[in-house]
This record gives sequence, structure tokens and C-alpha cells, in this order.
Amino acid sequence: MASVTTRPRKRSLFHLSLQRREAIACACFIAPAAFGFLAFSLFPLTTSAFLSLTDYRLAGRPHFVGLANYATLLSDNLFWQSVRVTSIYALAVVPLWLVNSLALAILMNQNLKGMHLFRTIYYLPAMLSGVAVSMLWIWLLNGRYGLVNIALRMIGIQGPNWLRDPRWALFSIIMVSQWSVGWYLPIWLGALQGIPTELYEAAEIDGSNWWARIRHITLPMLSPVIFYNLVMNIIWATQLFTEVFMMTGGGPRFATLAYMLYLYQNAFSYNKMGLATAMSWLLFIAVLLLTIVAFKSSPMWVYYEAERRRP
Amino acid sequence: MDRRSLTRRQFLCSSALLLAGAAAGACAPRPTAPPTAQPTPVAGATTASQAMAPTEPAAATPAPKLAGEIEYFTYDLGPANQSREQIAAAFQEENPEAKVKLTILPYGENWNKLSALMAAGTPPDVIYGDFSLLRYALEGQLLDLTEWFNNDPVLVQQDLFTVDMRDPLLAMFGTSRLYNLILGTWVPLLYYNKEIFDSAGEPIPTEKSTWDDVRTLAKKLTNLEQQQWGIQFGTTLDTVGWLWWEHQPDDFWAIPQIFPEKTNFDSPVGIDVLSFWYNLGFQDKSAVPFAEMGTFQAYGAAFGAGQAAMVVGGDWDSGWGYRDLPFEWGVTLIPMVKQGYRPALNCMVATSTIASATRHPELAWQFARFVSATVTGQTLIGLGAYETPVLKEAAHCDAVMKPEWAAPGYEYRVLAAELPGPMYCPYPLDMNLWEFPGKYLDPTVQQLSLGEVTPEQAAAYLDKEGTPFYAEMKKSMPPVK
Repeated sequence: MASVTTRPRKRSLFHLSLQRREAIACACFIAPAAFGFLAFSLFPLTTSAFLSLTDYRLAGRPHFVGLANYATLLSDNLFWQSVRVTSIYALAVVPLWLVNSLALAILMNQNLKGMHLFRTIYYLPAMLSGVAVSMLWIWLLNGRYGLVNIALRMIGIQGPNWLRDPRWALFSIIMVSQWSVGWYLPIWLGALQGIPTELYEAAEIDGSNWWARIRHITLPMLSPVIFYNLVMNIIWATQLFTEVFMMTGGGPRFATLAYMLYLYQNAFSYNKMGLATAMSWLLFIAVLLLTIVAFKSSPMWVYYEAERRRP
Repeated sequence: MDRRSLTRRQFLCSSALLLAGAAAGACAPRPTAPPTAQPTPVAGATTASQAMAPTEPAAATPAPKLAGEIEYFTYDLGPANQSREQIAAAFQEENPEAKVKLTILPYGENWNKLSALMAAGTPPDVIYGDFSLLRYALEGQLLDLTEWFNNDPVLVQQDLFTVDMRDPLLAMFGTSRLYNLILGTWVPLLYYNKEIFDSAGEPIPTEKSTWDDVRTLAKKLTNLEQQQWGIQFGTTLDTVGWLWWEHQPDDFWAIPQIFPEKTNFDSPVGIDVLSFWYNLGFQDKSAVPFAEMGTFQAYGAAFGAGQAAMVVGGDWDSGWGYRDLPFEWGVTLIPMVKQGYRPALNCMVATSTIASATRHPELAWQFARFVSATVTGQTLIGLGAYETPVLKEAAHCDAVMKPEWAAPGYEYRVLAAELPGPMYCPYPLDMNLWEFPGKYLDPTVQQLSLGEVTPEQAAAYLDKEGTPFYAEMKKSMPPVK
């Protein structure tokens, strides 16, 4: 007698529980992003950690050299010069970005006729490519024909050779960086308009002046946004590249040799990928430490409306 | 007879295996031709040898049919780009089944892209460039052209060319193998602004001028109040190279950039070379300061703006660089050196190299030799006016240059290209092209020209910093294959 076997019934997708179906859908939606993260972030990140311990030169196989790349960097004068340049730049531009963009945002937050036009105008530089902006400033700051020096000459001042004089080159780059402070306008404006007007009205009734309102209402209420901008600015400041690459090439005499530019030169001009990846890891660690410091300090000066602090 | 059939499972398994095999095959590396592949005789292009030697074997042998597509990779040559397009078109006309795809990238970007393509194993077939490309040979990325060259009836006849086609390549690379083919030369020339000389009543420099004459003239023609300088120099690396060579041609291999084991600036000759910037920049103040170089709108910086009386520049400037300058200028050979001859960078040659990963080595080779060794190719190189052709028949033909570009100075380009003497190459081949000059030489020379350091201090610094750098670079490079 032939045995009768019963085949297990296949469970179609529709027979799965709602929870399982949701889990599958969730996985499907996450998959592209997860793949992108794995392939384009995690893999390069882990690979670069390994490559920083090798003498990888793009062509040929990498050979393990231990911490030699890190030791080379620590004894390289130009590495320290790039650290110095980037630190000065960051120390200068981070406060300038915050103060200037906030001041601009407060101005742009006034209820005046034509304000939308002004907001657009101030935001426009942020829309331009860094390369185009750099090209523009190269000519504006030209020591011989630049409009800046022509304007200075008209008032009897002989302007310096902005981008070619080691004493002025980094200052010029810092100056140029302020041109696109309009980038922060939407963030500041959003935050400013989120501050309840009752607070200002109450303060006015109590007789507080303009500065007191800024100091005691606006700034505390904006502190989460200030914190966000501070962290992002620190990160961006350490990424200085386009301006120096385009405008000075790191010169004159390394006066504008930014960290990222030196990293790029090691990687693509000198073909020292191992050394360049070591630099990128050192930068990562430095930025991480700065960010941790910023986060640790935030309870002292960042005010969250919904936050309940322990007594 | 039994009719055997596959089960569905077997069929699916077989299909999957076939598919996997096909996919694996598609992912396999591209087949490469063996570097020692024997060349076939030259194609039927109009060659110099046909014109000069009627019994040349190339004419008797039927040309092979060339088919396929190759990529010709070059940087942006400005007006000379057109000549590259014309060369590709002329080659395709002679070889209808061949296609040359031209890739032109901005200078600088092309080297980065090439590095990436080399690393990825998908390089272009034929690459235009200079000696710096030869470092890829160290990594086995370039096709060894020695046998192709030796079997070529035209290329081996050195008297057909303005330069020795073989020596610079062999000498510079330090091996017995050839990895690139010269298509043109770049030589330095001395340009002068005739109007500045005329108004000052000074005689223009000639072939008989010495470097001392040039220095004296430069000093006389400098008028800082009117922002006028006596002389302007090109890249530090090139100038250091040929000045060094001026002093010790017999010890040519001591040039620090070449086969460096240690830098040796701290010597009477080295001090003399470094004094050049110190004297002209700091003492005489007759050279255009480095800080001013990038501030001029005109092509050619201060010279182009009419604010420098003389400039040591490349021969391409007489071709197209200075053609639109709004003043009358002239050109001559750079001065005779102490040893009684003129330095010329006539191994500073433009070359074609072929990637070893090319799928069409024969086609790539024939294209490279079409550019270098045929009248058609060389005439078009001459028309491009970026390099001076190396084939004598093209180089000596006035018709090569467009009439409006021919004068002044084309004759000096050819003269300079044919100057006797050892070849000079400013670029170290087994190390990065720019690291030593960028990190050490240029900043030091700038300091010298400002008087911030003395030549002795500069020499000591360069030797101290440069020697470990050289040693390290040397150590990290793979052995020549």
C-alpha cells in the first residue's frame, strides 16, 4: 500500500501575522539605506582604519607598517603646520559664524516691508558652489587688480597682497568664509520664530530693554540651536578645503595649509594613501573629542523647554 | 534507444551553474597582451622613412588591418587640443576599422584620474604625458615597448629625428627597457620684451649673451617704482635642474632630483645654484617676486603684462602662449653656460605610453608611432604648437606652423631641441613628481629670494630635510621589474 505523504502547506505572505509582515516591510524599506551605509560608510571606515597601518600607495598591495604612519605624522613639520592653520581657522570662524549669522538672523526677523527679498539676497551666497565663490574672491582679493584693493586705494590705503602674503593669506580665507553666513539663516529664523511672543510682551511690560530681551529670552531660547550650530561649525571648520585648494593651494609658504588640504596632498599628490588615512583618523579622533566636550558642557548652558532637571 | 531527460531540479541546477559560470567569466580581469608581443611592421602611413629612404621595408610589407577602439588620454592642451582631434581623425582615416576615443581632462585632474584608473586596473590605452608617467612602469602598469621599438624600421634610424629617441628614455629610467615614445620636445627659451629694451636703449639678448650679461641687463631694466622687473623665471624645479646642470655637466647624475640617495646642495656648485635666487631676488631685486607672480591678469604673468623685460619660458609660449601679447617680443636661445654649450631640456619630452592592460596593444602601438614617426602625425603635432616635433622632416618644415604662429621663434624651438649635450630631465621617476619641490625646494627658494636665508643656510636645510625624504622614498619603491 502506497504511503500517503502530506506536503506541508506553504504559507504565503498574506498568511503571515501582521507583526511579521510589518517586520518584512520594515526590512525592505531599510535595506537600501542599510546597504548604502554598509557599502559606502562602514566598509570605507573600517578599510581606512586598516589602511592607516599600511604603506598603501594606490597601486600595488598595502604592506603592514604598524603605527609608522602615525609616527611619521607626529614628526612631520608640515603636519603640525596644518594643525596650526586649521586650529587658528576654527578658533576664528566658529565664533564669527555664530555671532554674524545670529545677528543677521535677528535683523532678518524684523517685520519690515521687503524682508523676504533681503532674506533671499542674504541666503543666495550659500547656494553658490564653493569653487565658484573661491574664483570670485581670487579676483576680488587680487593684490594688483582686485576690487578690494582698488576700493582701499580710493581711501588712501595700500592694501596688502591678500592671498600671496603669508601674513595676510589665512586672514583672507577667514574673511571669505564669512561670506556665506546666510547658510544659517533658515535655521536661526526657524528658531527665532518659534520663541513665544508672550515672553517678549511680558518682558516689555516689566520694562526690559532690547538687549535684556536678547540676553534673557532670545539667547536662552535659542541655546539648543546654538549648540547644534556650534557642533556643526566645529566639524565644518576642521573640513576647510575648497577655499584653500582653490585660492592659495596651501601657500604662500604653507600659511594656509589646512589639515584637509595636506591630507589630500598626501593622498592624491604624493600618493601616500596610508599616511592620508592615518591623518583622517587623527582628525576623526580630534573632532570626536571636541564634540564630546561640547556635549558634556551643554547641560551648563543649553536650555530645553521640555527638560526637567533634577533638583 | 532510451531518451534520457533531466529532472526539473537537475535542469535548474545546470542552468544556475551555467549562469554562475557566465557571471564569473564576465567578472574576470581583462586579458592583457604579453608585454613582449612582437610588433608588426608599420602601417601604411606616410612616414619620414618613405620620404627619405625609398627602400624602407615598411613600404614593401602590406600593412596589417587594425581594428578596435582605443582611448587616448591627455590633459587639456588649450589650442593644441585641436591637433589631438586631428591626429585621431587622420589615424582613423588611414585605419577605417580603428577608433580612437579622445579623453581630455583639465591638467592636474588628469593625473588623479589616471592614478585611480591604474589602481582600478582599467587604464586608458594610450596616455599622453611626460617622464612622470614612467613611475607606473615600476609597478608593471606600462607596456614594455623595447621590442616594438627595436623592430620599427623608422624609429631605429636616429638621424630622422631631432633628438635621440632612445637615450633619454633609457638613461632616465635607468633600465634597459623602453616604456614610452617621444612625440615632441619642450625646450626653454629666453623671451624678451623688445619695447622695454628699445625704450631703455639696451641691446636685446642674443645667442651670444652669457648668464652674466643677462643678470646685468636684468638689473639695468628693473624699475621698481614703475613695477618693472628685469627677469622672470618659470618653475623652480626646472630652473634648479638646468642651472645645476650648467655647472656640472660631467657629473650630470649628481643632479639631486635624479636617482636621489641624498641631496647634495651643500657644495660649491649647489651654493652657486641657490645663489641665483638670492642674487636676482634679494640682492638685485631684478626678478619678479614669487608673491607677485599670481597677481597678473595676462598670460605669462609679469612678462605677459609687459612688466618684465625677460622671461625664461617654455617653447610652447612661442607657439601659442604669447601670440596675443600686445607688445613686440622676441626670443632667443637661453645663454651659453660656462662649459661652452647651452642647456636644453631636450629630454623634457612629451611622450606616449601604453598601459599594459590595454586590450589592443598592436593598435595602441601603431597609434603611438603614428603620432611620433609619421609626417602626418608630426605635422599635426607641429600645428598644435605645444611641442616641437621630433621628426626632422616635420620639425624643419615651415609649413608645419600656422603662418601667424610661426614667427617669431619657431626656428629657435627647433635649434634648441637639437642642441648637443647630455639630456636633462628634472623629474625624479621613481618618486612623486612634486613632493620634494613642493615641500622643500620651492619654499626655500622663496625664502632665498626674500633674503630670509642665505644660500649656505638653504643648502644645509635642503640636505638635512631632503636626504631622509629621498632615502625613505627610495626604500618604499618596489624594485624595477
